Amino acid sequence: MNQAQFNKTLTRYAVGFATALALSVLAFLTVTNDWIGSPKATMAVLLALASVQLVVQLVCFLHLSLHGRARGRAMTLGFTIVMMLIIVIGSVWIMNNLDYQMGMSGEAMNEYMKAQNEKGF
Amino acid sequence: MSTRTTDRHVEQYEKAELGFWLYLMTDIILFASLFATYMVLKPNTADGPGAAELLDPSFALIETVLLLTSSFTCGVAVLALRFKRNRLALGMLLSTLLLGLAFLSLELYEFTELIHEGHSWQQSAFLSAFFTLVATHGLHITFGLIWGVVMACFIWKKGSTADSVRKMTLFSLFWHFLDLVWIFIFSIVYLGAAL
Repeated sequence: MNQAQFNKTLTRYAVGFATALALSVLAFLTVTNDWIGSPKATMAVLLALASVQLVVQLVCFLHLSLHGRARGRAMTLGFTIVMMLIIVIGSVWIMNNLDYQMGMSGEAMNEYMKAQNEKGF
Repeated sequence: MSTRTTDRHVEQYEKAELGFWLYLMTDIILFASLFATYMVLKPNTADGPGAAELLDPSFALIETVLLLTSSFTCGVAVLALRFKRNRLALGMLLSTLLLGLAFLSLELYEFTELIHEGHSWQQSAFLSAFFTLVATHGLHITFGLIWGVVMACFIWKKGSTADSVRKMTLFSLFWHFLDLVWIFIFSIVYLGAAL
């Protein structure tokens, strides 16, 4: 509980804050200046930048680590991230696949829905 | 005797921290479901305007900076409280709450603008998913602000005790977590809108 320890932790917060801020602004500039071009690649870069920021904030702000007292928290987080990815990637995959199998474009689906609506559900 | 009570204190503290952490993990699953819903429903605009026309990345960047700064001041508040610098802790906690309030006001402003222009959650599946995701985060922020005000009163009355440090640590976990969720809302919803 001394001054040096205080400064060390404060520096850690400041570094985390500066890095997170820089990553957010970088993501923003990537989109507004259209540095990448293809929307899919841009989305991938955005997700990568967000993930890096996730790790930075977990380490600097939430003091997460694979060693010592924080290990239990790191393990539960790892498990939750796996669950999260299954839910998100699984849903998007299945729903896009259904969309594809339906063989209807978005507009065709809209027309179909409107026709159904006029008949009265 | 005194070491035994301290041990018990530490053990209690660790249990509380892990328990609260597990709650945050279930919250991740909640947000994951809402993100999945948003991603699936994003193209379903029912002939109405889509994300690119309605959402403004610059506006969201301001919100991001506000929330990120509040996350930083919240961390410093816990640190200061741990080192018994009560005035610094209280000042940092109050800045956290003010920044959080500014964030929430901007979000509510954005919502009212959208609704006044006729783009409420009833217009399309895309807007339903958008409002559900972003407003669930906003609701968490609202409860975080209430909790923060209670924390500020607690610290003001009791100062830096083992109890107040524990409570403040849990609050900071919650607040940092909300900032993390927002980073993904910012990237996927607001920056993704322009794509």
